[in-house]
Amino acid sequence: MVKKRTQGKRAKADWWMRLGVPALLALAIPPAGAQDSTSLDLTTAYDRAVASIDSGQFDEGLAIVDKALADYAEGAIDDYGPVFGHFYFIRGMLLIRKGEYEAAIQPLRTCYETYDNEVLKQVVQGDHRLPNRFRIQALEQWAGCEMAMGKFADAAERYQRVLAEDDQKYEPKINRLQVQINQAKCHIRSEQVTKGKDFLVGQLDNEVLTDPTKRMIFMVLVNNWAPLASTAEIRDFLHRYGDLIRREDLESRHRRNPAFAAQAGTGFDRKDPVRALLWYGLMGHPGELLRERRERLVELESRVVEADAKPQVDARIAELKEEIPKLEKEYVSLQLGIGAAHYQLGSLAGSRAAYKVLADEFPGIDQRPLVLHNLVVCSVNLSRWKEAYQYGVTFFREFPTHELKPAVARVLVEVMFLQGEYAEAHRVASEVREDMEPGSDDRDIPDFVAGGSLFFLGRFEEAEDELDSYLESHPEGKRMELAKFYFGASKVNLFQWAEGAAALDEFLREYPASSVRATALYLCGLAHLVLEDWDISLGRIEELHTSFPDAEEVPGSWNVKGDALAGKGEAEFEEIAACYVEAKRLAEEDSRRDPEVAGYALRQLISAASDEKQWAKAGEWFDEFMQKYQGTSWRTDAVVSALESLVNLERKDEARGLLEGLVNEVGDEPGNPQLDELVGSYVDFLRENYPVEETIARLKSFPANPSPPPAPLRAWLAMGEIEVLAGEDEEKNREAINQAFYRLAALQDGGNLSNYTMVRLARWNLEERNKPEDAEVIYDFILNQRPQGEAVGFALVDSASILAKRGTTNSRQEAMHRFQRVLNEVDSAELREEAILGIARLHTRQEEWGEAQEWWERYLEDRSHSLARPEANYQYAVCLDRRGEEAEAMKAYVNVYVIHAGHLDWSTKAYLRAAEMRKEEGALVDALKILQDMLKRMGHLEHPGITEGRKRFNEWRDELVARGKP
Amino acid sequence: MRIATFAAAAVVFLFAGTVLQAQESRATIVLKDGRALEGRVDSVSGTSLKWWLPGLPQPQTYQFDQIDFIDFPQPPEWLEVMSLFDKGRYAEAAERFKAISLQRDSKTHYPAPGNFATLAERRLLDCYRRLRRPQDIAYTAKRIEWNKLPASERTQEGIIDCWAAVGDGNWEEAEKRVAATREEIPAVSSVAAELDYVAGLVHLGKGEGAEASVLFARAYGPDACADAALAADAMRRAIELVLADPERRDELRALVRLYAGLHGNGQLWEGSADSLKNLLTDDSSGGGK
Repeated sequence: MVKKRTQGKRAKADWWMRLGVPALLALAIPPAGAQDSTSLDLTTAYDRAVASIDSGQFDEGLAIVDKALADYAEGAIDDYGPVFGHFYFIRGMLLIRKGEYEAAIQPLRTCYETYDNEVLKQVVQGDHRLPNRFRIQALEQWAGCEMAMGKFADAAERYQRVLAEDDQKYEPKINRLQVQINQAKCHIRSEQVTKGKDFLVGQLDNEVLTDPTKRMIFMVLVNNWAPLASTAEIRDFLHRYGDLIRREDLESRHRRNPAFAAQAGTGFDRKDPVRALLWYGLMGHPGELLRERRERLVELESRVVEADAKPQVDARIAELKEEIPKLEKEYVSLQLGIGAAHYQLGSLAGSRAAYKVLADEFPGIDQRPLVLHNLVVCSVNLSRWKEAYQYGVTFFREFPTHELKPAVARVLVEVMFLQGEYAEAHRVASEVREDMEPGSDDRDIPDFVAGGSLFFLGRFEEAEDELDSYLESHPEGKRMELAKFYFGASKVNLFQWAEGAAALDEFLREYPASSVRATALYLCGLAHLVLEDWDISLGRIEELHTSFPDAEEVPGSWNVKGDALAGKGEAEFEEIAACYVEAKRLAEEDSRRDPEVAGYALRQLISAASDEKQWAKAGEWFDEFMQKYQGTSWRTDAVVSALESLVNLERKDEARGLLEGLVNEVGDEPGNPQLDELVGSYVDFLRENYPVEETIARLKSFPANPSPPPAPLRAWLAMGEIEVLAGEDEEKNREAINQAFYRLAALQDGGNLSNYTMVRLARWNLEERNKPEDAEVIYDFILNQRPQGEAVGFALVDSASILAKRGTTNSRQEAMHRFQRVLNEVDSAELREEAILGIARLHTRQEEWGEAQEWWERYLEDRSHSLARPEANYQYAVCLDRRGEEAEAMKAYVNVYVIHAGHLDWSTKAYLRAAEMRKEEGALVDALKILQDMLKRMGHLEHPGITEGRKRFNEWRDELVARGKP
Repeated sequence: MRIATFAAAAVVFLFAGTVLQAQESRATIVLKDGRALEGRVDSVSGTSLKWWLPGLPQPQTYQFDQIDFIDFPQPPEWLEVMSLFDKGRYAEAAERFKAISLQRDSKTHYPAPGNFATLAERRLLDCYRRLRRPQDIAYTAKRIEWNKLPASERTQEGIIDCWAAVGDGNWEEAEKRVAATREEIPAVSSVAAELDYVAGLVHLGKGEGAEASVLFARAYGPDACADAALAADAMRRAIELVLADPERRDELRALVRLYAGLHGNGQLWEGSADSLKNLLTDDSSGGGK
């Protein structure tokens, strides 16, 4: 309601003189008597409206202002002057404080436009009207409202007008810088980004501005411009001005962290981890504050406090207890971000450092599984095996069923494996898979790594078992290809040639493009070579040469090819030799240096040339070998292969000297098969190239080094003498041979004799000295102390025979056991025959006719058995006889004396028993016919059986005559 | 001669400008029995000082062994040099602190506990830490009288001892001190990064480059915001070490780009190897794992 003023024009509008907050001018005393009794006077209304801004009672303030406007607005500019516009300004401010920016614009606009101070341009004396001192501020607030509403372009223009019209004629100074800053914000937001940014950045270089002001401007740029800028621009900006923040005190800097964290998040959204790290680098270190707060809390909690100070201290403690978890959360969030950023960039050590501090200091966070997983990955990739293992085990212990467990296990073990840390990989794989279900997907990689590691550690038997298990448990395994390869290769390394060849053949079929095909071809070719599958071997090697000419197996494969061609027997010497020459050439290339391959090639060349009697070539190759490769494992073979060639090149003494040198090297190693072979070769060499006397003389005066020669060598030299003397004329040289054996016997103690020599000595004791007990001592030594090689078979057979002859129950049982061991453990056909014979005889001796018959049958079924066929046939007949199968027995006896007539021991017995059987049947005439046949065929020979036969014939003939039958 | 004279004059001028003037204002003496007394220094001798307590006609004598420290009023010169320190102008601040530390007289209240000469040495150590000058730390640490400092200034003796051992080139001793200090420093503290940096120097000194390169990562990784200069230096050192390891090629590439992105405004440091610079433009990396 408009109030009529009767004295308005004369009222002193001095209410504008009063100061209020925020810097508003007070209201003047209203015209006296001009008011309705229900209205506030303008002064009071103004005061209360201003107070409501501070007190937050905005609606009350608005009501007061609206009432004042309703009561006094009409004609106010005439009554009071433009100063009345202050009410509109207050209205606008109240609405702004309520957040009603759009509504606030109108009153602010009115203040600015309607209550223009232009009316005061021509003030005359006595004009009581007062200027509007908030007009520019109203314009500024108007711009602010537009800014709040997102109308940035309009707001920017508005601010420009503020700056232009700020003449401070009637109004107090505005904060021009703040206006410019706001305008710059608007420019940035309204696509005049460069204009706004350039202004703000320019202020950062302004030497007049204080650091706090610059920091404020800095933050404006962070919140408004940074999201729009490229990372390069951000980088440049922070490079130039980042120190403004970095040199701020920690508490103040920390308060800015939410803004920087938000910008870092933007970096991740844009998949730009460097951008994120730029912002993280600007944050106030929450860890440092956390440390300080924790220490402060401890100090306060332990402090003894006076009663009147206790509430204060308690309040501070409560504050700290609230603040510390927030700081911890912030710190964790920061480290997770840093860890992720470094991780994404491949900065392993940086990532590791962040995750490690989280793993060690914050074990309760939700992200712990991920933290541990990432830490394991980083540690593994940094080759920090112990650390990776430690945190991996921690993961497994704390999160046994977590979905990331397989990933951790996989990373841990497979990377170790790929890095070649096989021992570690095997150990960790074995541990991590313990509580994984066999055959499960989780266990796939650990199982593979366990087997693969064993392969590379050279533990082929274990590798074979592991890989076999892998192939069976993981039919769809992720590493099936390599597992199959390692499995086949393990077989080859275990000399299981047939299985190895089969496994690798299948591998090559199944994986034509495998990365390990070259190695598989080589190993497969080698296996088939040993199996004498020449064509298959050659085929594999050919493919290796054609498809993988640079593979590291190629030099060695030429040796395989040479061996296969030699084995096949169709190629000429030149073609075979060319293979070895090529192997040597490749093995001598700088990039491939492989002395063992080259050494083997030369060894084969020497041997092949010797076989072809190409002495000169053999000699040349031998010389090359000795010059370059005598350090390889082929030295002994090369020397032995070259002997004949050297002799033919009139280098006999050189050859002998080399052999003597080799013998000396292993002269004190009685169990070493090389000693056996070398002395054997030496003895053969002497026999072939020197007369017997000189050979014996050289054996006796062997140039031992050290001298005198060690006992094992002396034993072998004595054995050599025995061989030479026996070879010349055993009977003639019996005495010397026996002397040599006595020398051997003297050397026997302490295991100085080789197994071969011991067997010879034992047999000499048996056959020559008839001292089975001395032979038994030797055989027991072999069986207990050195159960290796062919000697074991001889020891078993001979000792079993000794025991069998002893005749006691125990000795026969032991004899039976030893004969059985021969059948189970020994491959030698001859020894196996002796064993079967021994068992058959034992059963016969023990009159176990059923078992004896089986064994005699078994003996006879094998046509290769020839040691005692006559005896076997006879004893077989005896078994039938004793078991009551008389008709069959008779046939068998007839078989003996018909087929084995010349073996008088058995044929005579067969004759006699057959005759006896017929007599027992009452067929005396038939019995006499049998004896008659015997005497006809053998009567001229001297034999106890024949004598007995003649005697019986005479007796039974007389008996027949006495019966009266012709 | 003229240049030397000029330089000497400049030094004198510099020192003269840094000399503290004794202040007459009130101070607080904190005794070891926990009492804190306001008053004014009358005089300082070798083992005691005379202290004017308000209302008393005569100054009271307190032996140094009764005193924890004295909180003297800070003269303008001290405030000035502390301002330099707070603004991160460590090299300048160090020169001034050095001059103050040599001023062992009544103007600095030396040898009273809390005197400015000793405090200046303490701050000097901090400057050298920030400037990463272990030999200077070693020299200063041997001189500083810790018992003349308040307890709050003694909390970082451990890390300083580590630096000093590095400065002396005594790697075994440094390694022991690092291990001992690690027990004292909270793992979340920014000093933990400094400790790892020092530990990295120790391993570097022992020829263990791989381990050093991993330890430097604490300073440029989780604690980069604590000290940007330390972070940059740590990353630079790590790059130079990783360069020697062909197995860490991808990581090297990542670090080079990180250095350029975070510390070099797109470039590496002056004098960096060409092979490193080439990595900035090498696009063959697969980036993060």
